[in-house]
Amino acid sequence: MNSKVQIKRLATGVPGLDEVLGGGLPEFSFNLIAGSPGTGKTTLAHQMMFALATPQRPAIYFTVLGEPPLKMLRYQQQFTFFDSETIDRSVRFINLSDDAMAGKLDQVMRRMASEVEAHRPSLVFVDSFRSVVLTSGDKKLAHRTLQQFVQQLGMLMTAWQATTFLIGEYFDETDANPVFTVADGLIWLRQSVQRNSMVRKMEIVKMRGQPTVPGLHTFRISDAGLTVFPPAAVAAGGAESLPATVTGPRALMGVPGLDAMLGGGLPRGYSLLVAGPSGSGKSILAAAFLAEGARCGETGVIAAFEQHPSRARTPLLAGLIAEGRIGLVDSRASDLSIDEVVLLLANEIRRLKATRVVIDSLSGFELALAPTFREDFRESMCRMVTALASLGVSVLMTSELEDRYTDLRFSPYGTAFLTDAIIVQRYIEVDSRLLRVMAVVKVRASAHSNELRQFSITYDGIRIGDSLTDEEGQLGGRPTRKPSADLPVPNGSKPDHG
Amino acid sequence: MTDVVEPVDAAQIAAAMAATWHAIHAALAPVLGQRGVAGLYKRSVQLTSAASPWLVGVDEGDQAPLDLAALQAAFSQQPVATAAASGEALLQAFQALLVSLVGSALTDRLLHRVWASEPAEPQHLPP
Repeated sequence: MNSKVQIKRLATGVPGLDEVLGGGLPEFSFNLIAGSPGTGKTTLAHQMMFALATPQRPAIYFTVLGEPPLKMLRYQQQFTFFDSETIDRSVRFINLSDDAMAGKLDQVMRRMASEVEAHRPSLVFVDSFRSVVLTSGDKKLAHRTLQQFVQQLGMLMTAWQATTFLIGEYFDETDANPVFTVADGLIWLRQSVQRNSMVRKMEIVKMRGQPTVPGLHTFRISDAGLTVFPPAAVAAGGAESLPATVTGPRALMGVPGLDAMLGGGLPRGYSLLVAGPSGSGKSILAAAFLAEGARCGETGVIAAFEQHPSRARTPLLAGLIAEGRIGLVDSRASDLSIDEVVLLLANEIRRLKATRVVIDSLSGFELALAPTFREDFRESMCRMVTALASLGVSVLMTSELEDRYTDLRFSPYGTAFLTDAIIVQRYIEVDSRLLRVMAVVKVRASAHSNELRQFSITYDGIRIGDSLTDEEGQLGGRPTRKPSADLPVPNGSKPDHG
Repeated sequence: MTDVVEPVDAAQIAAAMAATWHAIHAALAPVLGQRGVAGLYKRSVQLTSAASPWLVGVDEGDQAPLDLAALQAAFSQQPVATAAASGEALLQAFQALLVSLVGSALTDRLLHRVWASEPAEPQHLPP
C-alpha cells in the first residue's frame, strides 16, 4: 500500500500555464506571483481564481494597499473570465486597507485569520503582498518581521488547506527576500521592450515537487486573459511516437513532373525548403502542394505572414480556405514569438487533423517576430521544425533568396541543414529573356533527380519543362551555348526557350 | 429606489436614509475598504447637493467609517416631500456612480443584500 501523500494538481484555467508548471498547480501550495508593475500579476491571479473557485472550493481575494479595489474590479471585469455572478458565492473580495494603514502586521494577520476561519476558503490571494510589508514603516523592522509574518501566514493557510498566492511587486529577484525561501512556488512575470515591440515573459522560478519547464515563456494578454506559450516541443506534444501518417505514401506536390524529380513525391513527415528569388513561383508551388493535398482528401494549414496575404493567394487556395479544408494562421502582429506561432499552428493542425503545412514565407515570418526573437532566429527555426516534425505533418517552407549568381545559396538563415528536402528556383538569362529553372537539391535518405529543369508559370500553375541541356553555366545566371556541332538548329536560328 | 411606504414625517425618512447608508457601508466596506465607501458617499452627496443645497456639508470630516449624524439631521429638518425626493436622488446618484465604475452586474451583486434587506415599513427601521 502506498502511504505517500498524493499531491493533487489544480488546473489553473490559464492556457499553457499548466504545461509550463509541469502539470498544474499543487494543491495547498504557497505561491508568489512576482513582477514589476504592469506585468499582469493581478490579471493572472484573477484568471486563476475565477477558473478554480467553486461553491465547494471558494476563494478569498484580499486587497491591501496596492491598486484600489474599485479600480481593480473596474478593469478586471473587462476580461471574459470575470464572472460577477460568482461574487459573494464562490469568490469573496476583502479589503484590508483599514487594517494595513494602522501599520501593524499582526493586526493584518489577525484579520486574515478571522476571515479565513469565517469563510473557509480553499484559495487565498493577497494583493499586493509587498504593500503589507511596506506598511510597517521601519524597513529594518519590516525585513525582520516579514519572515515571521510570512511563516505565520504560510502555516495558517496550509493548516486551513488553502492554496495561497501572494502577489507582489519585486523589481530585483536577487533580493535576499525571505518570502522567496518560504514560498513553494515562485512565478515571475516580466516584460521586455525592444524598439517598438513589447514581449511578455513568464518564468517558473520554482515550484516544489514539480517538473516545471525551465526558461522564459512568452505570454500574451487578450480579452480572455493570459495565454502562455510553452516551448514549441511542449506545445506540439513532446517527443511522442510519430503519427501513422508519417509512414504512409509520399505526399504528391501537385506539379506535374516534380514528384518524379523528388523521387516519387515528398516523404511524409519531411520538411521541404523552397528557396528562390522574388517572383520565381515559390508561393504558387506552396499553394499547389496544399491544393494537391485537398484533392487527395487531406487537410492542410498555411501560415501566412505577408502584409497583404489575400493578394498573394491563388483563387484555388482562397477557395479551399473559405471551405475550411485549409486552415489559415494569419498573423500580422509584429511581436510574435516562435512558441506562439507553433502553438497556433499546432492548434490548427489538431483541429483539422492536417497532414500538410505551409509556411509562406520565412522572410515574412522573421519580420513578424518580435525583434528580441530575431537574434536567435536560427535556433527558433530549429525548434519549430522539430515541433512540427513531432506532429507528423509534411511541411513546405518558402524562403526568399536574393540571386547572387556567384554562389548557390538555399537560405539566408543558414537553416538549410534543418530541412529534409530542398528545392531551389532561379532566374537565368537566355537570349535576353529571363527564364526560370528549378532543381531538387536534396531529399534526405532518398534518390532524387539532379536535373536543372526549366519551368514556366501559367494560369494552370507551374509547368515543368525540359532541362536546357544545350546550355551550361546556368547557375551563374548567364548560361552559354555548349560548343557542340551536332545540336539541331533549324533554319539556322537558335532554339526557342520560351 | 427606496421602498419606504408613506412615511409620516421627515424624521422617519432621515432614519431610513441613515439605515440604508449603514447597510451600504456594511456591504461595501469589506470589499472596497472604509475609505473607498467614504469616497463614494462624498461624491454622491456632492452630485445631489446641486439640486438640494441643504445637503452641502453633511459629508464633512473623514467619513471612514461613515458619520451619518449630519445627514440624518439635515433630512429630518426638511419637509416630507423634499426629504423623500432628495433621499431617492441621493441613492440614485450613488447607484449610478457605482454602476459607472464597476458596471451594473457587479453593482447588483455587491448591493443585492442592501436592497433585499431594505425595510418596507418605516416602523421597522432601526433607531
